[in-house]
Amino acid sequence: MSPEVVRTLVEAVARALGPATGGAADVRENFGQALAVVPPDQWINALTAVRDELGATFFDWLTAVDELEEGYGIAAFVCAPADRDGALRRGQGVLLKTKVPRERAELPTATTVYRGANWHERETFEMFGVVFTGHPDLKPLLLPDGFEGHPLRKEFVLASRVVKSWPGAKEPGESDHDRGRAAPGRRRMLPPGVPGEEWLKPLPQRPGAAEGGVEH
Amino acid sequence: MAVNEGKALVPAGAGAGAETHGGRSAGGAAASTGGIALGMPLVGAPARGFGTGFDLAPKPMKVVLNWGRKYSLWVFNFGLACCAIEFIAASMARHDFIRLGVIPFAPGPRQADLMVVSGTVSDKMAPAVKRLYEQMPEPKYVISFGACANCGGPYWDSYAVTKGIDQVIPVDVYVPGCPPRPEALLQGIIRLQEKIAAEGTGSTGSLRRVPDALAGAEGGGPRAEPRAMTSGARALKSRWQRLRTSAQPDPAAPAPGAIVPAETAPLETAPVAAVPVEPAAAATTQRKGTGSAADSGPPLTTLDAPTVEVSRPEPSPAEALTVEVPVVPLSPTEVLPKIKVPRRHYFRELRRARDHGLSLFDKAAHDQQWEYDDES
Ligand code: SF4
Repeated sequence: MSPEVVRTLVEAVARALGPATGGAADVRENFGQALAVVPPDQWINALTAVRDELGATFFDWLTAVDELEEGYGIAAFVCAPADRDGALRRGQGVLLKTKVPRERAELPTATTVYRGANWHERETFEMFGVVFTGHPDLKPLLLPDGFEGHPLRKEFVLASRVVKSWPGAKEPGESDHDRGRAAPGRRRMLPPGVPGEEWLKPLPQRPGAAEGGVEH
Repeated sequence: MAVNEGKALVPAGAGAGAETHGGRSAGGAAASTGGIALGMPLVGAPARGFGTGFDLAPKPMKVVLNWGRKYSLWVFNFGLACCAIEFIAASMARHDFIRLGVIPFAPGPRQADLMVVSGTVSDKMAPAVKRLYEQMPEPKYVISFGACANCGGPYWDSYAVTKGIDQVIPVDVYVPGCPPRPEALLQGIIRLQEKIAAEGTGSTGSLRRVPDALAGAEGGGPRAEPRAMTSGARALKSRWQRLRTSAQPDPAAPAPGAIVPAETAPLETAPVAAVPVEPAAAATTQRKGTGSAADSGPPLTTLDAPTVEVSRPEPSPAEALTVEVPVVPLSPTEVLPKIKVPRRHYFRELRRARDHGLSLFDKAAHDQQWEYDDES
């Protein structure tokens, strides 16, 4: 899209979202797309407005981002499947974003506006633990039965390595083959979400543990 | 065909590659052929079910049964990720594991003898893998294809990936790689076939794995010692060489004027010498020769699969079986005209394609109002 087209798009979105959200929406251009940041209490209003007034009836996706102390960012992309007068052109869409606090990760469900949001919200719920209030069937979608925790949260520890160390070598000097020839002082690489080296060592004997004290 | 060069067939990684575990009988200790014992948990039924008939059969019978079994492996591809593509490649014309007797058209696990788990097994999928494995009739075999199916592969740290399919079902052969080349699967299949051939016979096959029920009767025996393994590797090599000589010639392999390998020549002529003079059979030989010549293009004189012309009087059907065919010594033949390679056209096409691509780009740039610097 040319800058001109994007500008018209952003203006159209701003016109629609301004009144619908009581002026709370922040609409701007973002990497050649229209981005609308709305507060969580205006989330449903904003979705309804882009669907009804802009003709963005196609719900593409919804997901979340763990932004640590800032909370969870929730993003959804909706677009127009066909040209319509006074609305978006075919293929044009809006990226809607909101943010919910960490301690109260709740958002009203978008299934009342887009039925297709159902599974997206279930997935976001199981991966991030964001509760979509009013969702008809909020239960895990993809994870195996009995899975505990929300694996895409940043605090989720990927503990496989604690149970059993990786049998291969990621870097030179790590394998059995060149043990003893390892370059000294090489920084160990750990994938994100993997606990550090201290996890791989046995716990130091704590005073009291030996006398039958309470563990942890 | 790429099946010519022994080197290409057994890639460096796969040489020490397709590893077999002691399967259900051996513990984790004597697990792999020569690599580091990873202490993978081995699960599953202690013995393979062959049926009473097999258990009671005399040894020659078992050999025959095993022989039949190992060349009709109906395979069921449990394709779960990228590795499945390599499996499919191995089943297609170029690598073509059907020539090893592996038949990729099992309608489902209930009709399959072999399951190839190729790809990333997630914890959610693992019960399904186990279930379909249990639906397969005995005796059944499993090849774990690729790093993911072997041990979790690059997803070792994942919250959702099973750390090796051998935590769920017993595995006969592991094929390493991410993804393994189709040749590695071929080698894995051959390893499995050797394993099958040794089953229940108490023979010192390189990959012997005597089911526990029989192990007592046959006196057991050492399992998977390194010595046996090396001889197995040798057996494997010679098998490949045999395969290779009977395969079609690779047009790219010998340089022009290359000396035909000494071993190749007699083996190529052997079928002709053995052919009883039946018009049909002779015609097949002929056709095979000319067909490969046509495939291989211009350097006709350097072909190492020669067209053998058999001059013979028309025999009556009765004397057909007795007539000796004089074998013409191998010499370069000039049966087919040389094929002209349309080089120029090729480059012209290439140029045209490039120009077309550039014009598309220009059009797109114009439509989208991109700005780009044309001068640099
Ligand atoms: S081993 Fe590699 S190629 Fe095979 S499924 Fe896993 S990631 Fe894909």
